[in-house]
Amino acid sequence: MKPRFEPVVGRYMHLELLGRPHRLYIEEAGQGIPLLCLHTAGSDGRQYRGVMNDPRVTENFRVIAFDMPWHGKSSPPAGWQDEEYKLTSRDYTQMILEAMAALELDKPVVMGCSIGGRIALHLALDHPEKFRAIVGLQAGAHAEPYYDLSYLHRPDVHGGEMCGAMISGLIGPNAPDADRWETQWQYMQGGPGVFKGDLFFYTRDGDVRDRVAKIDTTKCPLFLLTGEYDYSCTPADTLAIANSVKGAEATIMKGMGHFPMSEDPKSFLDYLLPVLSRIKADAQRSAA
Amino acid sequence: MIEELADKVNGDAALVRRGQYVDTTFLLQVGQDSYLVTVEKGRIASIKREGSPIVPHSFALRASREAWTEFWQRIPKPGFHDLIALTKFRHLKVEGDIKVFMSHLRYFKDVLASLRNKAAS
Repeated sequence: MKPRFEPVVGRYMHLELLGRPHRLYIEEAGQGIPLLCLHTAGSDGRQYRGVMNDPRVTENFRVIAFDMPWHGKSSPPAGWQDEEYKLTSRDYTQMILEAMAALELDKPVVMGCSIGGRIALHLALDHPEKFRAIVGLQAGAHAEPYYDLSYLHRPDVHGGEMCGAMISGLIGPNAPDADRWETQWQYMQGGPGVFKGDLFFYTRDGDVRDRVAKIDTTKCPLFLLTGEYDYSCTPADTLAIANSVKGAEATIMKGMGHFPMSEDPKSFLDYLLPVLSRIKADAQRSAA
Repeated sequence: MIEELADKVNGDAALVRRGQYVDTTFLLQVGQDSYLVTVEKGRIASIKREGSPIVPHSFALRASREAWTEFWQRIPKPGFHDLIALTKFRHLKVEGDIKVFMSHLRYFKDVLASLRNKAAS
């Protein structure tokens, strides 16, 4: 096998997030319209490796993914050792806006999956003017916990094994083996309690059922892509948003699960590329 | 069919290795039929049809025959493709000492999925 480098570049940025200094790991590839990608709970930006390595995307889009603090190669802030990590809607929103400002991104497209899909709905509600378009993957207005979340973080059960095994069924049955297990590996690598802390947002604090219908797609277009086999954010959850938000466009992705960009990047791109083409055409129209 | 579990699991070295710290007896209910499955160091040591009213086991997995039949399809329908998916949609009840089940979740998922028809349909 001939060695090769990917076009993806990773760097560490030092910046203030939520009033504290942070060391944040950021990857990017491509040029053009900024496309900010948000990973799922308990994972990291590697989930977007397929998107960043596809020239059909990177010839027109600058794809950027940061590992949230506590995730991947981003450190938790100093003092973390005595804190319980719990993601809130307010902190998640602020972190994204502050990271965007630090990166000087002008009206990016934001694409988030799962918790990233949920916060995308928050952004559509509260900050539509800051985005060119919003793409929610596995986005629902709320998710009820369906198991005892304390199992994700207790010293007598291996957290990495637990997180990997818990999410394994959220991957669709047709996912290529290498990508299926890469997706699980990233879950197995998460820090203790981080997945659980993200799920505080997903199952409690981030509930937008009472206001999701107020999303105004004339201010910012909303595209929703959801995998057929996802039982965390089900196709019905996503279609409920599409039915209540005028102008929102939803597509159910056959055979896919909760991590489309990571579990089966090739099939996912078949669904994503038409959305990106629409966004690019809109950008050209508004520039003309 | 449940009797095949021993050969399927014990013939899979990686699965037995993954379960090397599992020593337990769990109850598997398929519709009206119940089985006591004893695991010793990851190997299925015995499978017994169970008929008595007092049954010692660490945890029980209870689902209808229809739910298990769909779960054991080569490509099950959405919601029937995973043990946790089955519980989410209330097709499967997991009762008893949940910690044994949860601590070895991948092992138990793989043990039950080993009965899946892997042949091309």
